Amino acid sequence: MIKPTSKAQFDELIHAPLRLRICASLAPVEWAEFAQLKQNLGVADSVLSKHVKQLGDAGYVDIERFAKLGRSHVRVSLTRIGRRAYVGHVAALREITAE
Amino acid sequence: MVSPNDRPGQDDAAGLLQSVAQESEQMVKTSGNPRGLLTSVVAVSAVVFTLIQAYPPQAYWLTLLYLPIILWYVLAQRGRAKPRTLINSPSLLTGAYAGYFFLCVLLINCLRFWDATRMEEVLAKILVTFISGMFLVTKMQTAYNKARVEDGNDQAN
Repeated sequence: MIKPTSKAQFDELIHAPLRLRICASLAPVEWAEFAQLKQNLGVADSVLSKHVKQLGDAGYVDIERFAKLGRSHVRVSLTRIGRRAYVGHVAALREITAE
Repeated sequence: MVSPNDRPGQDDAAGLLQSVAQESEQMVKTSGNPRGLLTSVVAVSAVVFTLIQAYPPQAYWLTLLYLPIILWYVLAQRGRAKPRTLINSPSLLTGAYAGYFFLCVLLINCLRFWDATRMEEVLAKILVTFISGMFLVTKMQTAYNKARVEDGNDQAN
């Protein structure tokens, strides 16, 4: 296992189960389309929108809207702050399991 | 910040870590190449590598089969999540991935010594190349996916 690059720090915002799952899904990718994220998590549009907005308001995720070939797309990605908070939160969870 | 009382217990934390790993693996799988694409690449490569020794002209024409595979790859990438560039992944460079990669190179070189001329020998060689190639490529893919999950959950940069 790689040594985490972020200090273990429990994050209340990320700790909510769905927001943790959103961050976990976004962690191995640069960005994911909203539709794919919704399909992977198996949640409704409104529920995902609400949680993504909360993460976005905290500066943890970046939401990019654009149109391509007449279709609108929404891309979601973890920001640098969000990635650091997420890695720190995962490290904190590991610390708890190791206690 | 949460108070110490709001922190999850050991069991809850373990469950959350398990869910984190599952979600990351799921995203890695769906953002990667479809399994059928990988199988097609290995199948076409097995046929081309075998026929290039036995029937070179046909083998050159068969390389055209890579064109629909490339088209498939391009179409499969549309709308998929963009994989993150691996920043620091020792498990990828020194672990199973590198090991299986070198076994792949070794396999290709060893199979060059098998001079298949008759039809049944050619078919047997294609089959052996395909089966061993699929085994090694699947193992490489698994190691790569694991490295991506670890990188995503441990690298903040």
